[in-house]
Amino acid sequence: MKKRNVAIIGIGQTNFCSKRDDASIYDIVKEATDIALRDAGITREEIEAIVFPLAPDSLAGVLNSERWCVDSTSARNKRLIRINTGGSTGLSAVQVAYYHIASGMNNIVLVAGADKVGESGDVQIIMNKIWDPIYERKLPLTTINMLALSAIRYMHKYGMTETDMAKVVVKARNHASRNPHAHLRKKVTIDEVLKSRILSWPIKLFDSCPSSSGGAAMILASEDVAKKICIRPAWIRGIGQSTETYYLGDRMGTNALNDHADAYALSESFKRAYKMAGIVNPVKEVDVAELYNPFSNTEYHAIDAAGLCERGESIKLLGDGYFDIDGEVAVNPSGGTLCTNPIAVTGLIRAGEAALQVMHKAGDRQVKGAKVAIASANGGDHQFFATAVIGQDY
Amino acid sequence: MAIELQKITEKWDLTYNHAVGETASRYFYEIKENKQIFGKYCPSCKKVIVPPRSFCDSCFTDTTEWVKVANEGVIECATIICSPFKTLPDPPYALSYVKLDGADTAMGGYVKGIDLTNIDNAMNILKIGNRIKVIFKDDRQGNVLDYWFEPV
Amino acid sequence: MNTRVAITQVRREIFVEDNKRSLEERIYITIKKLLKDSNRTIQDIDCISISSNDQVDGRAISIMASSGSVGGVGRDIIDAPSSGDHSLIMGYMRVLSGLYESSLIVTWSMNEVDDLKAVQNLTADPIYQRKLGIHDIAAYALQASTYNDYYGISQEAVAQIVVKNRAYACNNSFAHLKKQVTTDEILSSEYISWPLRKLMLPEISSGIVAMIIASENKIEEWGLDKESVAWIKGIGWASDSYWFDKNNLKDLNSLKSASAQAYRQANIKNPIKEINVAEIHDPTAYYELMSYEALGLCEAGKASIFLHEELLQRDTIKINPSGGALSTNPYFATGMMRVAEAALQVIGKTGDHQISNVQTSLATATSGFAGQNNSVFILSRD
Repeated sequence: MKKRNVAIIGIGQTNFCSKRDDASIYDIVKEATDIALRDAGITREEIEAIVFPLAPDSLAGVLNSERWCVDSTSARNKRLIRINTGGSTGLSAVQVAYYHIASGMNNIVLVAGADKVGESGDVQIIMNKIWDPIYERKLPLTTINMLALSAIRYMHKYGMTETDMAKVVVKARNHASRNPHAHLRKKVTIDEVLKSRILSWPIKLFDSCPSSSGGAAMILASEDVAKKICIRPAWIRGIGQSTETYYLGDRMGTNALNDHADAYALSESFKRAYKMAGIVNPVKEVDVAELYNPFSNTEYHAIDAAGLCERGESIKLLGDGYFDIDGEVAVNPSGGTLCTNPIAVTGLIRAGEAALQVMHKAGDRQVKGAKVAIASANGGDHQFFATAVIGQDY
Repeated sequence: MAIELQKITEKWDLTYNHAVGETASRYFYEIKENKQIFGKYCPSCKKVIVPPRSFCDSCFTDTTEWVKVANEGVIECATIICSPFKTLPDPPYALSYVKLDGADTAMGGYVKGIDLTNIDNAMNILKIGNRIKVIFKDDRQGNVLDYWFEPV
Repeated sequence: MNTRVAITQVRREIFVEDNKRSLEERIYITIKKLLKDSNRTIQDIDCISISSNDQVDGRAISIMASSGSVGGVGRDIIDAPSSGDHSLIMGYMRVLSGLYESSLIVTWSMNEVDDLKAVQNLTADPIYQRKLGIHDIAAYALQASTYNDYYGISQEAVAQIVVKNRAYACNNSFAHLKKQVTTDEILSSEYISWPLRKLMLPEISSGIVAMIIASENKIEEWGLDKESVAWIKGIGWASDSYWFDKNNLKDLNSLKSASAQAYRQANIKNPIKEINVAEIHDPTAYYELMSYEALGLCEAGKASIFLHEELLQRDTIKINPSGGALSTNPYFATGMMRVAEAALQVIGKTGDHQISNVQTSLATATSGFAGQNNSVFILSRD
């Protein structure tokens, strides 16, 4: 039977910030849904199924909040599934929505969620609980020092310096200043980054993502529906997912293929998405990359893993402006996760931004002539990697 | 009439009793009683996994023999935490993953016995490849806090 | 795209507690046994679809440590924590889409948390409902009392569901509670949350349910007999309002929606005639009765009559021959236990409580307060 093509026909994002004292998760999900519906030009009645991305429930303080948000997403008497793959949740949710349509079970699917990371008083306590209680939880592991350890190994392997990390932040803030939805939009200098307080060496405050609150939504549709109602849909050409071992200590030693410095499983995930999308030469064929980067150092190994250069080469190329918004391949023209991280939906935003780019609806952050974009999201202790290839054609 | 925007504070207090399993229980027993560190061998990957697990997730096979590893090894990576986080120790403190001699995987632990006042000097002592040893607490409970690392 | 997907192998495990193994180890052992039973290795499986509940597990992202146990390293794995059975729905769509030809489906529930009610209460929103002390049983009690107010039902009919299921469980070596109970015992057991008495509610056990599903192409490639698998003919799933009111408490609206979807896809016009066995998720005795109505087995308010005439007297469609959740309740995995039982009935490998000549079976799975979410699965031999 013929393959069913899947399009993205609407995207919604609230403006992200630290706290939303005026609204609960329930309200924010509705806000984002409304924006996406308006963008797609469809009504709530037309939604057939909903996929709700939600990572650690404890961050927002309500378990299984997809149930609470049934009315925010118009899920009454409709299909509702919630997804949790840690930080990659948002993009995994887009993939599950993709499966609804590609399988023929539905024609119009909403992905919508929100987070209030800034409202949780104890983000890192919760993050500490992602580790198993037997070996790792008594250690002071957090997502910050876990990725600081990755930075240490990347420095050792490829010579990355603290200044190289700071360059990623400068680029990200420059891009984010053009993005009205981004949380941290203020431009910074290399010096300011280097002088910001150390969290876990070498990661400093400015090298680190913020705790963001806000919501995002996306409408996916079958080919028939998309062609009827959308002038220029974005097509999901490929999706991929792969998984690393949960054990950080297994990703070490000399010559480990899955060295904690790199993101091997992310490169495997991209290989799968590229294969499905028919992308043979990423550097030549990809115009925009929205790559999940909660810390500045992680942008480098994400670029490497996306096959945009050889491992470790990203350092020099980024310094040369290769990955700026007007460079060879624009990496994170939205400002990326480094500027906005509402955990449950960050992965969804990566796909949403990629779609906006190929639909030419990215406003001041539009990459000229963008035709093919890629998106990635990471979850767990750098363990779950979801990827997507989104283009103007299928 | 200006309505006050309310906030509700919730604290979660949930208790769990997690079965640790025979493998991890034996690992902790050897540490508590004998100050010895053991790993388990994966016959398919041909690797000694430390801390030990009853199966290897990379190849999806049961691990077989128990293998004693040295109480000394090499730093695979380390960081110094300088910012405070709730329920974690007061900063600064160091965290490292160490590959003990005889093991093929690294295990995590605190690093003590280093002057952390100058971060650059301290990170130099914590360089990848530097030798490091395990120090056992006198009053051991049978968990990962029974030991830490110190530079050789 | 694939045209047909079937459940080819099922493994279910029930236990009270296991101090010898950690949660991750226990899951690994189940998957190894499932693969061995099916003569396959993890390399034969294209992707992994699981459902796990962080708070039941006590791990903030429960898929993390467990991903190794389900063969996730190097593979595509997604977790749908909204309900144990969503793992199967998600896996089904993955294989039906043609992107994958097979999937491992896993869900589990270990009894490691001290106070399950406290966990359930945290699902209640902090603004309006949490301080009212809402948890599963309280919500089911509100529902039972609303159903009774609106339609009326005798206590004897409610008790009969328990008697029926607990008697069935005596024939099921997998069941947790294998002792019959009488109407007298049930109606004199203490009230837990009026009108729900202790024996109208299940006890909690631990459990793991794992399955392999595959496309028709893959089943041919594996050389399996196409009549010894359980073909998925129809699936429906739906959610109802989160807020309690008479309308969503007196009827199981989401179960009605879900069953309409499943019947439509499976082309079922007359469920009583066309379905041989139904494994209906029964978190309380009232819930099973209300499910008969929502599934269209009888009209609204007439469940007790259906129970008497169709089931107990004429013994037509068999309902919960495994003993249901009332006899075996691995909390988060209970819904999938229903699917496992329904699949095994069609495959013919249920064990001691196998019903003969099962052509088509149905399973329901519920989650959320007062059955906010419901799924329906229709399986058949061809």
